[in-house]
Amino acid sequence: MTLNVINMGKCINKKWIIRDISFDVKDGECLAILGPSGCGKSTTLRLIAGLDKANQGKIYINGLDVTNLSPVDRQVGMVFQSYALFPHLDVSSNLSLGLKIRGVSLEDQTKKITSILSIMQLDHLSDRLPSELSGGQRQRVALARALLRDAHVYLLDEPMSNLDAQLRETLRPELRKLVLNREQPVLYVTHDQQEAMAMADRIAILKDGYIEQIGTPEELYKKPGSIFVANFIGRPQINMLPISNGVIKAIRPEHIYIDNQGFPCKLVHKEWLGINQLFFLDTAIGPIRMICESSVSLPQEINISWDEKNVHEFNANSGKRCI
Amino acid sequence: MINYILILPAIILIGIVFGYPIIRYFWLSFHASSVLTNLDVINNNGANWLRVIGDGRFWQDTIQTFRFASVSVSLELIIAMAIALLLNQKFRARGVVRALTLLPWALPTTIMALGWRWIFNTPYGPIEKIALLMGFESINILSNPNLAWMATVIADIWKTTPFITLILLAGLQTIPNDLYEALKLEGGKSFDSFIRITVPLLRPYLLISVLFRLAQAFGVFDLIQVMTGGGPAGSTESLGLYAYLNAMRFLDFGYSATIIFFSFIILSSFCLLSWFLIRKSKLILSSK
Amino acid sequence: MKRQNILIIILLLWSLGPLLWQIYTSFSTTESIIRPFETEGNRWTIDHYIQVLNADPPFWRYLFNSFIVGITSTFLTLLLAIPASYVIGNSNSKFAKSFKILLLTASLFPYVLLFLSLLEVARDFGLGNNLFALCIPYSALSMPLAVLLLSAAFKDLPNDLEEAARIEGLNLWQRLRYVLMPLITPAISSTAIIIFIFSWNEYPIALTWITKSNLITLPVAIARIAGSSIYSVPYGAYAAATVLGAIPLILIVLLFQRQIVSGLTQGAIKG
Repeated sequence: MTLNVINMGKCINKKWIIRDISFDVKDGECLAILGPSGCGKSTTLRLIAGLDKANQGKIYINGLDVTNLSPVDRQVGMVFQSYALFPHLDVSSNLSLGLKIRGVSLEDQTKKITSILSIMQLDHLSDRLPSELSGGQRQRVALARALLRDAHVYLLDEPMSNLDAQLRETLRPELRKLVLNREQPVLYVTHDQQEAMAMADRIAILKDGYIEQIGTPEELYKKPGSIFVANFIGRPQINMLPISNGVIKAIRPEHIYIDNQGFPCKLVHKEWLGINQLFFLDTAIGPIRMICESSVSLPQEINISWDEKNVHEFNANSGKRCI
Repeated sequence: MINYILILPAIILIGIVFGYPIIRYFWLSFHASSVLTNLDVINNNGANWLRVIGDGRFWQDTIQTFRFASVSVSLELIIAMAIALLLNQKFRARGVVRALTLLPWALPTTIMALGWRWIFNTPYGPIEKIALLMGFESINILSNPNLAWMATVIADIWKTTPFITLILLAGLQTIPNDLYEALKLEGGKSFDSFIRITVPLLRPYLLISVLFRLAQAFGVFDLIQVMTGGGPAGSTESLGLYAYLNAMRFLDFGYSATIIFFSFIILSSFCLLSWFLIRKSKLILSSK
Repeated sequence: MKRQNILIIILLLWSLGPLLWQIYTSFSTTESIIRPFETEGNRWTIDHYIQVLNADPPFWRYLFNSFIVGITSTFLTLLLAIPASYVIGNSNSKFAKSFKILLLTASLFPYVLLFLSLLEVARDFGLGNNLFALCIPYSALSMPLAVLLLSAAFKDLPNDLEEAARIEGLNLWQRLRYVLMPLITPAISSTAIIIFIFSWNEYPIALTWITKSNLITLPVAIARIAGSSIYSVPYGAYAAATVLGAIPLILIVLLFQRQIVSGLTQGAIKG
């Protein structure tokens, strides 16, 4: 199963929310749509789901042109950011409503629901109302509902953003096992670069309604196509060095090391991160962040250096990468 | 497309019940249709409109209707606000008290108007009796042109205050309690919280009550017809009643339609004006 | 605490006073009706009730007529107002906005002024002396308030819920039936109660449209009792009829007080 999007665009009140969006997602692949708020991530998802109509371009699911089909006929499974569980229905009714509407026999409904409830470890909660569930349980119900859809594509809209940080990390492997390891393509919208790197096979970075770059997490990290991507991927954030000859150089904090032959700088501040520590340095070319092992303790005055192969170069005018 | 289909039935119904009469009244207001014309409809080139402008009884009724509507609605707002604040507090059997307070709204206007006429009756009604027992002279409320209209206002307040109370009570329940607590921490007294929190946040509810009630009170008809029949000496006659009398008693349908249409114009410009004024005062408040 | 109790008692006396006076009158003999507060002589009676209940057609007939009118009007109003409110609550289109303005303007037109012309409509379409026909003007008159309350309730529902239902394959009717309407039940029930009470009580249109005495509604029937003698109003029988007619309304208000208030809060009227 595949998802192909070609030159998709959405225009509201003469303003393009997204434009010329193209990508392909293969079967079993997870593509993350990553970007800051307001960049058009959710619009992209809604157009593919059929909740809004695209003004431009084509959408193919399994090779079938679905651009003008209604959400039902597109056979997509979707998890909403708010989970959108029906508040007046208990867990099993939330799951059975769609099956009932789609004409699944009562016997099959029970079978499917029992099986998905046990996969999701929700057996004991089947007659609870959504308001009686914890955030993690609600997310699992929402996932279960999407999985029961027998969808050709799964669309996840910030599925983790309503959970606290700790729960998010423990749920990642679970989500991967349950949804991402299936044969259907998955589109995963998030604003959290760490989550995108952890979950997705490839990431599309969206900026102001356009795709800035698309690639594997490794490619984006190693070869960011623009200043925007370089800043967005990798934490702590990359160091931008001053412009010279129309070129901006950038170096990641983890690629800087202490070198007595290097150039001098002053230690301003440090942050303890656990396995390592982050130093804020003051140099002749402006402030620089550097990562060191946590055992290192530094004097006030140090010299640093980096390897030329780790430096990224960008055109100062276009913001694009220089080869 | 589907949106049009969903709204269409409602529009058709409103068109029949509101649209048709309004157009019909407008058309009829340029025609003579009375006993003099054997109830045939004859174009009279706006003679009705000239007549209504020079009709002293019409203008007196306009003033009386305004007096009734403005006194009644403003008193209702004040009383309803007080009752809503009281009913929003916690006390035993609150549900029953709320329900009983709603009762006047739920009873038929015409029937209770007759009840009020009985209460104000001279010499058998309780008000008159109590006045006599207390050593006053006979008040004879409904026969006194200076008092009769107040009696109709009292009956109207009794009947319609509960609905405003209901709307304001619903509004009070949407105000989060921490706003009051925050003001208390700042050292505000309960009067401050009423002026600075309750009233501004209830503004949309107040606005909607005023508009609905003004329109209703301006069209008052059955209450007055039953209680006083417009008397004594026409002192309680409203525009609605005058239009009714023209059609049903004097059988002058053309002129009746003119009165109805003219009072509709007066009423809607008045409502627009008050809506505009309230909107404007909101702007002034929020710009502070 | 003390002051609160006193205020509540005053409030109850004011709200219930006229009705209590009707009850007092309805149990007084005809001689003592014109001498209130005097206790000597032949004071109490239930004759007025017997008279009202034994009349022809029987009193319950009017209750039944009013009930039929109330139920059909409520049903028709909700049938038309729910789809329209759904559109107005969800759409920002010019069409939906102008419909809202149309409704507000219509609600300003004093409805008692409509009934003279509506009588012509009834005559032209042969709607006289038909209880079910009364629901046409009643639904239209209730429409502005119903749409105002229901569209606010629809507007308050999160969009996600309806979209999730669309993804699940529910069509518009199924979304309304299984998801949206259950969620705005409080607003629907309070709207329904308000329309029912209005239709039960309406007088001028019921008076002019219905002339057959076994089809008249309760308020018209009570007014007829009051007007049955040209010399003086038979207050005893009239008061007894009022008390009997008020009982269903008292029950409705007592039973549904909470729904009425909470439904108005859900469909919170916004600007």
